[in-house]
Amino acid sequence: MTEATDLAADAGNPDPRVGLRAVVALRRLLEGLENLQVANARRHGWSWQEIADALDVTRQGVHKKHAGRVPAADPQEA
Amino acid sequence: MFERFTQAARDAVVRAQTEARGLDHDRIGTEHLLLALLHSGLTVPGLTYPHVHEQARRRTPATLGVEPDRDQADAAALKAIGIDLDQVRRTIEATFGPDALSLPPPEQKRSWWRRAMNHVPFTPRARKVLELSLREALRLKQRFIAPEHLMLGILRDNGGTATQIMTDAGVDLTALGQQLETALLRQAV
Repeated sequence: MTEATDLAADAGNPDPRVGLRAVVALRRLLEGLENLQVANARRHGWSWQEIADALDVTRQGVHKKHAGRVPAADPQEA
Repeated sequence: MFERFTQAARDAVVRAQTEARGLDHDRIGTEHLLLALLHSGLTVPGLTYPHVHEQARRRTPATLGVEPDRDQADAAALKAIGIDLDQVRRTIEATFGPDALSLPPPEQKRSWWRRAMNHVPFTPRARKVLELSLREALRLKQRFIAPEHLMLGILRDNGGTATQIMTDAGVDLTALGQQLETALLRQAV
């Protein structure tokens, strides 16, 4: 089998384990991307409100999740 | 159950985590609880902290940091739905520099005190010891759990790593239990 047909076979794999494992991996990738992009937005001086709007979540939610690991763009805001 | 723990007992449970980490163990076992209790100043005739530390190191191989490569497994899983993780990584790194994308460890279901324990889980045996320490407090009609109750919990869990280390060191478990009980009943108000 070529790589392409391998992929097609895997994508349609009826084994729940394969599909669910992909969901777990995707969730982890999502978290990694979110951390990276939120940190980048903060470095660009975005407020938590602006980031929250862009992510379509609440300001409190995004602040609670990321404030601890992302340096504050404006020391006043924290 | 943890709200009944005295500050000293809480400190010991937290210290057990430090002991496990120090030994590169990824689980808090009964031996780490024992180490924490000895560290807190609880004395066991015939037993020293360095001796137990050495025994704990010998009996359980270091497991921390030797987890299978999760990123590799994720890459394979993502490939199955047509996502090329390496390609994603290359795109990100082209903009944000090398190693910009770090995938966080997967979220696990945790109760509040497990989160407070900073993710080093207890072995089923160590959890049993905590339950047994509560049972000992109830048996002695005491509403609090002190380090002595934790030690009694360890003693009641016969066959655990901690009791094995103590037995091998020649500690009389029965006598120790009685001594702890006496001490507890004396300090009870």
